[in-house]
Amino acid sequence: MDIRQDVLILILLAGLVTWIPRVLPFIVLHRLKVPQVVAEFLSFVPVCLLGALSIQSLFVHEAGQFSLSSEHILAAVPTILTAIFSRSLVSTVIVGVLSMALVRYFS
Amino acid sequence: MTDSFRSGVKACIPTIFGYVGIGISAGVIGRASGLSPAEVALMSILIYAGAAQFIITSLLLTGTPASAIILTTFVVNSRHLLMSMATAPHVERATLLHKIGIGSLLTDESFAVAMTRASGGDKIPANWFHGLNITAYLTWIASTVLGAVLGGQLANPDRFGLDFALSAMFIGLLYLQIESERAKRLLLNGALIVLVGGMFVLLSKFTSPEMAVLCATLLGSTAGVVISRWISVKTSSS
Repeated sequence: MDIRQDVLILILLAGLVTWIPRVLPFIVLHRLKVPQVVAEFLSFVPVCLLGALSIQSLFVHEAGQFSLSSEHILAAVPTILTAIFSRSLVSTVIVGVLSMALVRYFS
Repeated sequence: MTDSFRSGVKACIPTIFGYVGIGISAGVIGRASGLSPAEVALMSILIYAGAAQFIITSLLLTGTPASAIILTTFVVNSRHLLMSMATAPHVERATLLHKIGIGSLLTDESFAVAMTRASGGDKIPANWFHGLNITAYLTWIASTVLGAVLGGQLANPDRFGLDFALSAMFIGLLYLQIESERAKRLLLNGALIVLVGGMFVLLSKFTSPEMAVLCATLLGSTAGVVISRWISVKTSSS
């Protein structure tokens, strides 16, 4: 089991800055009630966040350039169709991975 | 094992393939970038965030200073603050320790699965959440370690499209979320996604993609509140 000391410290600190935003709201909201307007705001977070993450995943970072990837868009089409018609997450992920493998095989 | 823990485990199953796909590729890439399997495991145990682990690995490879790596990790993972804030009010009464446990293992995927459940209106039992989270956590650790061990053999994991598992999972989870809110606000959600997409593209010209995701989400959710209030004022006055 080889763990370098500098990597260990880096992982510990990166873990800490990841953990704090994860648990802080649970600690603060344990006793406090969320005001109505905040609750309304938070009800929009899932769709907006997943929308932003989905759109981000159609882009690639290459040579310092952040741009739309035709590979990803091609693979996304059957993926979106599978999500709509199957309503199954498993099928969507499997079709997504297979589509990407096919796109890369033929390009 | 309580019943709700078990049904939490069940609720995790549809997302498992995504964790495995992306976990294996994170492990392979970690190994290829010079991390040992033990270091990859430690990262999955203590950081437990897919996108951040990819980024840390690539920053380590380019010799980025530790302070910059930690700051980047914080920015990439700060969206968890929003997710935890949105999740916390939907969890049934439980001790603080249970809630810290839930927050510690919250991911994009477990958040989305829980929010789809919460849109039914009922509070979420802590044990259900633990079942969901712990299944995902163990799957992630096992997949990344498997990837790191296989690392030597699998030269180019991208060839198999495994890196697209995460993207496909986001697309699937987004669709399920829209579907679960269909009766409440289908058109508004559609408009918000277009807005968020546009904001993301615009913002990514000025800042990191992760920061652009965070800001676009904040703007989109604010717009959601403003538009839905405006609609309800308009319909009640006419």
